[in-house]
Amino acid sequence: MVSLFALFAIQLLLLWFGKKKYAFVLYLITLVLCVYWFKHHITDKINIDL
Amino acid sequence: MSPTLARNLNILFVYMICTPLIGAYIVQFVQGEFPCPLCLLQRLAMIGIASGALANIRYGIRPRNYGVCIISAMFGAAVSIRQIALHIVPEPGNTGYGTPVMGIHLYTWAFLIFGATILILGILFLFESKQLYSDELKNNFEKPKKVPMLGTIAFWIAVSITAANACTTFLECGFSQCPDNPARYIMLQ
Repeated sequence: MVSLFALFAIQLLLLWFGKKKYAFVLYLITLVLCVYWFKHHITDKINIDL
Repeated sequence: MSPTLARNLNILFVYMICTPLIGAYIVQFVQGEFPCPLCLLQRLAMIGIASGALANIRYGIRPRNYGVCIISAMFGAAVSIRQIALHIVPEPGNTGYGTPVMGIHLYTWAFLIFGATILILGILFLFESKQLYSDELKNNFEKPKKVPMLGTIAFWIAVSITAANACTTFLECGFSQCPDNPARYIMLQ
């Protein structure tokens, strides 16, 4: 999860400083990783103790 | 809608999407609550939305940038619905994850934000589709444009929030998988 935030931070910096294509590719990679983690968490047994 | 107005609205949009992210930090540190993995994924989706809006600000209005916003919002909505569904039939005494803000839990607020994002962009496409493809802008997308001060500030706020989330998530989870029900900062133990 840490890496996802780090990737997004790098993506924003690339986007802002003129590397638009790299930023777009990095966005897609991060999105795929986010979907992977989402799938992992919804298929894993979730135990929320309230 | 003129390109300048559209850009200014995108700047406003970045500030609006950063507001709940700052609010989540207030809940995390002032009220002492720990974000769960699904909460973190919702934050990531909001950053994705901000990313699309920032591309519009930096390079000019383009449908692909709005596509980034919509896809991020769809992902965030899916995560929010999952978390809402987890607590939709609570056990007695179970009021959901975290403290409600104005009577609504943060994940429900998040779903409303993602839904509103999709709705606003849908309305925009209904009425402004010609402007998005205008010949005037067609060949001028690749070079970064000069950005007003408010846009630059919005960018640095978004980057700061993202970097701060990376740091606090590291403190909470380390490099391993975040616990489903976090109760402490693992790296501070």
